[in-house]
Amino acid sequence: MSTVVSDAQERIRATGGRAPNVFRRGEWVPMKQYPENEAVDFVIVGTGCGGSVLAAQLAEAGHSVVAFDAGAFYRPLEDFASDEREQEKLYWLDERISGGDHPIELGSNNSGKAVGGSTVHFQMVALRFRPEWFTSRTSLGYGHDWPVDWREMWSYYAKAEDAMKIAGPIRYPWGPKRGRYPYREHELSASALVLAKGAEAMGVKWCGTPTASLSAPRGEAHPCVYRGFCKIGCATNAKQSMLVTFVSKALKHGAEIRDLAMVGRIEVGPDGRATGVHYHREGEWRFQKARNVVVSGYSIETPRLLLNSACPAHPDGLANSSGLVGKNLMVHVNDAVWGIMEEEIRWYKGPPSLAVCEHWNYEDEGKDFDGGYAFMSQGPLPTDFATSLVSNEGVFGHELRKWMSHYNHMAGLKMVGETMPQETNRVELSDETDALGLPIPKVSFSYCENDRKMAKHAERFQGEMLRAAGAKSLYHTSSTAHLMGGCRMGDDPASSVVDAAGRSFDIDNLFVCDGSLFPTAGGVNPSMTIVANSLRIADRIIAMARRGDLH
Amino acid sequence: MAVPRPDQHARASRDIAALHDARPASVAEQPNMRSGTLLAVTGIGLVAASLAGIAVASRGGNRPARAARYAAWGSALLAGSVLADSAMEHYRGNFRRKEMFAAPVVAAGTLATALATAVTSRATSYKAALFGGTIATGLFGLGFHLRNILSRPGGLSWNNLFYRAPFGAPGALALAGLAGVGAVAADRADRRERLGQKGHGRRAGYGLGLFTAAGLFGLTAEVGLLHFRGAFHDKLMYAPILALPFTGAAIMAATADPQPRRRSLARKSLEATAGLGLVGTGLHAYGVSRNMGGFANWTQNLFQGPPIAAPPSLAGLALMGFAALDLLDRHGKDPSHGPR
Repeated sequence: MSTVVSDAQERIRATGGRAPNVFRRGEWVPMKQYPENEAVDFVIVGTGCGGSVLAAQLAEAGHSVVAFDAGAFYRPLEDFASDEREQEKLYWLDERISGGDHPIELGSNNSGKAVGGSTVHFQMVALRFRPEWFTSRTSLGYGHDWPVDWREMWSYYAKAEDAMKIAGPIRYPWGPKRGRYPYREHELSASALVLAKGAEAMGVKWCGTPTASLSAPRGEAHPCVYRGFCKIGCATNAKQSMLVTFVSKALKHGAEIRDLAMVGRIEVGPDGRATGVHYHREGEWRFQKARNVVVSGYSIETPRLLLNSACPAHPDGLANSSGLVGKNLMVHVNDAVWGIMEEEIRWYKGPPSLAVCEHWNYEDEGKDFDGGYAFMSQGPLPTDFATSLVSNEGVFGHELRKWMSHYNHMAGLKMVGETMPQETNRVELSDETDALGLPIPKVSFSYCENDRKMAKHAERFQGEMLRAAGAKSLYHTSSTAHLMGGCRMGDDPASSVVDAAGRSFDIDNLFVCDGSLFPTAGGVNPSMTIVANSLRIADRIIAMARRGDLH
Repeated sequence: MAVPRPDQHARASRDIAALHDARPASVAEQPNMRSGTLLAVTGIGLVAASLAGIAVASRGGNRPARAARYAAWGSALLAGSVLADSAMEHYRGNFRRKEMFAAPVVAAGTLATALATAVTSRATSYKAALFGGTIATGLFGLGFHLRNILSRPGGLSWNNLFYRAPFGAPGALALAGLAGVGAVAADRADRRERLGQKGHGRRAGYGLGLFTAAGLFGLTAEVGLLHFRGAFHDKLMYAPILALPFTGAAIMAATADPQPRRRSLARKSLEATAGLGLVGTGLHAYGVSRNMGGFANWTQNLFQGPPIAAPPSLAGLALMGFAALDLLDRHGKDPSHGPR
């Protein structure tokens, strides 16, 4: 039931020396192409916040780059519909086995299958980690330290924010002083004003959410028209997804993108080093030679690829001498409190989360748990909201209809809460295989006591704020969002998979660059941290190449 | 995963049912006029006000002095800009308060009066009274806009300054009134000077010069705020916030001590400001075209901005400044007759 006539999912588009021009209907941009039997400097698996950033930066520095994505290469202006069902094409809905005490629902909230990755449908919340989180073990007593100084990360946040022209507030009320956001904050929606009203009534700080949607024109990208379909793909290009930022930049600097290309295995030579990747495109398995391989498939597909590339030299999977590949998978607790307002809210208008409260990320007193959480105002589209009503409250039929009749008066607050890294929360390969013959990943996830305490705390606090804003008939829903970890970076080969440059301790020409590197989850949406970290890793790889440290 | 909690479910359902019966009436949020109709009405208003002004003039009377004509045309341009801008912006705000009709209606009246002032010297007292009413409306408008800004969470925050009723906008209406009062004063002063009563032209020029400078500084703040909101994404957006205060300072200097060199500098910068007003109108039109759908989607994008009606007010202020300079040329230090 497609409402848009688009061949993006059926036919490869990045071929014949050209790739789709994402800013124009039906138009193309030139694209450099590389032969498969000559080794390129870098093969990058994935084009999301990790892969596309690396592709752009490495190509700009003069390296030959081929980046693969299993998803389609869309032109948002013509391929996206204002239809929730149609836009499910942006989610990674391949078969996966999800288990554990609290199995994660995989799809809309934590994955993307398109050139540009899940940023094509992300909610554009562009927050920074609290500085102390980079040393959470030594400063706060939980989780693991990052192998990076917070000041270095914060300088890369500024670069990432500028690259994505983040629209943010003039003064950010929490944490150390940060530079000015490149674009000004958006007007607050009625739904954001509910958070503002509640926070002011409780005497807690709040602010406009730094958002990756343009508040003024940028090149051929239009400013936001507050259409509100952000979460199912922005059809105006106001959203600064990787597709319209770093993928475009990568193409301009001579990187090749291969769409609808699923990488199934990394080949390792007799010397134990990576020699290229096997990938499936246009109905056949092919091989691309490479001097270096970067895996940027996010927390499930990255471990899956590393584990599936096991060979005699690396029987437990690549980069897995620590045995940690796939372990310490984290999510964000995404529980929410909803209520009915007297006044009309029409929360579907504009970006859904235009106001944020990071109070419990920066306040350590009065908490009975480790870690922090942020929460934001909400604006779910009707199907999304009805689905959460059915799955959380069990209402159906006439009852559901009655609840949905309040849709235009609803408001909500939803948390992004840091879960603890646990080795038992992990990605493994199952015995079952998918249509391409690749083993289906098995994902196990269980909340720990700390995670549950945080969720309780947030339910209470968010409920209080919503009530202070005037909401009635409150109720609570549970879910998770985002993925972090699975290939932890660190300084010690025994307790981490890769080093601070994303380089495997076992194979010196194999890198990981995506959200799976996170040692801890942090209480904020991860995209900006992935982009900033990828910019940092790109600089390190470029420096290594200049020093002659690369293959 | 998501497990329904029966106890909570039952409680919430009861509450919902209660609320459902007493469901609040939906507010009429959508304007009940189409934007095309609104623009037609605004256009007709502009034309009608202009015709009314000219109709008054067609009944004879003396031609006003040149300074008075400049100031009157300046007033007309400012009023026309406010008429178009406020009609659109208040329509966008659904004319939620009755008072919101005042701005376009008073602006139309001011436009008619200003045009009449530009072509005839008749009925100066009535005109002065009408312009006084314009100034009062503008000042009340400032109060309303300030209240609108403060009424939202965050109070005097950047977000509210950016997106609530623009604080400086009613100031443009007050300026239109001031330019009108200035025009009447200039005409009277000119007559007295011709009767040999020295000093009146100098004083009128002084007043007009100060009002022009004040208007330029005020406009700098307004343009600065809104271009800052646009993140100066185009470097040309810096042009008015550099040019306006410079022009303001130049006219202040020429007013305080009207020597020929200062007057000449002020004249040149006023010319540049007027030019910027015209160029700015074009650039704002280009800005509108960069919105999703461009001019093909004009019923939405003219409202989305940047406001095409705003930059002409620069030319309006410049005309007010020319009026001041004309008086200072002839009645200040080292009088000259200025360029014909």
